[in-house]
Amino acid sequence: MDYQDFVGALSRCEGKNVKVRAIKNLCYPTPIPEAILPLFQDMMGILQAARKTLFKKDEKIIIFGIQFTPVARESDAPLALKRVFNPKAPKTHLSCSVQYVKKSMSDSSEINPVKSCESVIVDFTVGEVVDSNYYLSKITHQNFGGKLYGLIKSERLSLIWPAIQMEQVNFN
Amino acid sequence: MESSTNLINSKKIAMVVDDDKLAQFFIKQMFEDLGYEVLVAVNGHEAVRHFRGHINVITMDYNMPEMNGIEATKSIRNKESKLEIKNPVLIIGLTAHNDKETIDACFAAGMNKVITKPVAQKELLDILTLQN
Repeated sequence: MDYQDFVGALSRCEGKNVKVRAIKNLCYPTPIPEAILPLFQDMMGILQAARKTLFKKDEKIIIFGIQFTPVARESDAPLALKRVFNPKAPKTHLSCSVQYVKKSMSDSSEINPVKSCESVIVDFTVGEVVDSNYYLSKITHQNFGGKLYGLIKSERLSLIWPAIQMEQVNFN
Repeated sequence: MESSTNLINSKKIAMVVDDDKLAQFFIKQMFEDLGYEVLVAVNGHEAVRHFRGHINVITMDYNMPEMNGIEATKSIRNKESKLEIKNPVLIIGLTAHNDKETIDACFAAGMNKVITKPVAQKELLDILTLQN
């Protein structure tokens, strides 16, 4: 995935409180399949709808980066749903960490992602849009609480997954 | 950086160098399950500053602000030479970059192993268990 394509996809569906800004060289999206780009519209809608839990009334989030989650979530779901992303590790979910900073609505100053970066995790295998603690609960099988912000509809995922798998075959 | 002043000498010590909180927490827990005392550094500068040859294994993120994993690894290897450390620390690089150029650069800097992200839990656990 090209970084500019990621920023472009998000900028087309910005909401009142969910914005995007390009800051190059802070993430490395190249290995992420670009076939998931249409699903960012769903993610943006989920984040905007989750505004009561994600941010205060007078706040906005500014998304600037995406990368694979550092640690893979593993389960039987990829095989059961026929959404295997990595044939060498067929239980691995396709999960990405989407990085953002939180600011007040009136604050138009430059963002400092190094000091105040937060992230939301999108699991493109099962469609979950979650916070880090929720994801941690899933990868460790322990209860760290966390929030499930919403689910990308399974029909949407099913439409995209053949393209993801095709892209991975060509990529590898 | 977590305090290292009360570390028990007999315990093996690991350092997790990563700016990602999820990675920090998960890998720290993995080390603790294997009986390590664990230090956490959020960038290369912190890692180099706190390295005094007393650490057995380091997981080093490639892409970090301020000082990346390549520069930090080189600095740690230099520090080992200056301190005349006989048993160099095992440095495991973690990177989202899967191109040969990046992986070669990691080894050239002094990393012993390189794992690409997303890290498969078993792969990392196998390496740490072998080390342990």
